[in-house]
Amino acid sequence: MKRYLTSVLIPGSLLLILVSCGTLRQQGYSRLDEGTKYFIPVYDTGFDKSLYNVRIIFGEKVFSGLAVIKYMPVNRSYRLALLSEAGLRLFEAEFTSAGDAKVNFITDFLDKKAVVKKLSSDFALLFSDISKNGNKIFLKKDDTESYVVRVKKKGKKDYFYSPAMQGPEKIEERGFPFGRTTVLLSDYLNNAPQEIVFKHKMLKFEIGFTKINYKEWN
Amino acid sequence: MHKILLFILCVFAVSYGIAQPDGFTKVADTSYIRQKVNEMALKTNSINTEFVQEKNLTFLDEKIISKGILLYKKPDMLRLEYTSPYTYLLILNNGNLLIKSEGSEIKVDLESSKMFNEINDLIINSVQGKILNMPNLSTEFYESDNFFFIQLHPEQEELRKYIETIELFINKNDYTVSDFKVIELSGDYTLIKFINKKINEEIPDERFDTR
Repeated sequence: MKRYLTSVLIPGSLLLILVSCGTLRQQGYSRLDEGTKYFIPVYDTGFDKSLYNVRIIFGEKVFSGLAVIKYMPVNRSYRLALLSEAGLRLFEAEFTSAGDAKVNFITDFLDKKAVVKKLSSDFALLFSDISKNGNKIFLKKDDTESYVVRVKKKGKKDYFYSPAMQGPEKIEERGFPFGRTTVLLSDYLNNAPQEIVFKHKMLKFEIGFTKINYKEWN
Repeated sequence: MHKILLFILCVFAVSYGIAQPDGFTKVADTSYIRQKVNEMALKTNSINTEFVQEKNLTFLDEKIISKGILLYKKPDMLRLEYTSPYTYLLILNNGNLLIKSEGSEIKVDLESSKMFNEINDLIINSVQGKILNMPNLSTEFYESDNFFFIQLHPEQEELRKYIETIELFINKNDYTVSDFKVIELSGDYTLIKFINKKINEEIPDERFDTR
């Protein structure tokens, strides 16, 4: 009896719960074929580079610095570097529109597997182009002309669009082991958001980007 | 085979030569430079200078230029303030560190932080020119008509993880540091040029308040 419980009944019940949840989550979404609709990415065509102030809150500690984001036309990729205000490089990685990340440098005190993974996956959300790259895309619209695009590739990601915005206003990613990550994006100008905030449901870890009005680059 | 080896050696010799700026020659006896810089450091009670910082990232085709003001007062008070294109303030005073940036303020007791303490020593010693006396840095000296050019190579493993070379330009007129350049292992570098330098001007202690 015990063997029946552990080998059949419990896994079977768990499977049923999972399938039910999955079905519920798909409610209101309709499948879109790739290429049938264009969804504006966070950094749209024409973006070259931006300089941001960065504020990182980790537990009770607050850090500040700068971020440089540059589109690399040769590789069709994006480079992101985190620097201290005095110029010391802390993190640098390259991201593709397919959502891949390659970390080129991370400073010694940040070089922990979990930190590298979290920073890479968070920042990769900014550079994914969901209209391309063979994603499974589901669309949900509401009465206000706003809509949610659900992408299934390397986990589940929701992109929230409103008609007034020149790009997604929110991105949500659910993933193991860090739980839900929410990215809030606002004040789009010249194909890039002026404000970006990363929040993490299970971690007291927040990253905020505020664009610096650096006239030499504008 | 010998020709190939000779060619490789020549390429390295040329590469090595590039590290030395044009118009500079190597200084064999460096004791008088060290002495002059130390004398100037002893005579310097305060420094009030503007600075321009150039950050070069290898993947960028343009440098990031920031500007600010640096104040130093003996024995260990420092105010480093970036004013453009972002605001950032760092004050070191009597073992305390205050950092203010967009929306955040950090206070650190340097006694409890080895890393900040080392950074404190590096900044204060660089401003004063005392960096030449710091241990664990091998040095090479060059000179032109108006400047000494000094390359410092970290020998300490901790520092070598971040920094390839530190370069200083010291003005022969006043034996103070005019340019300070930190070159990282990747080739990225930060160059700080000190301009409109005022030595031994009165600076109120309030400018170094960390409370």
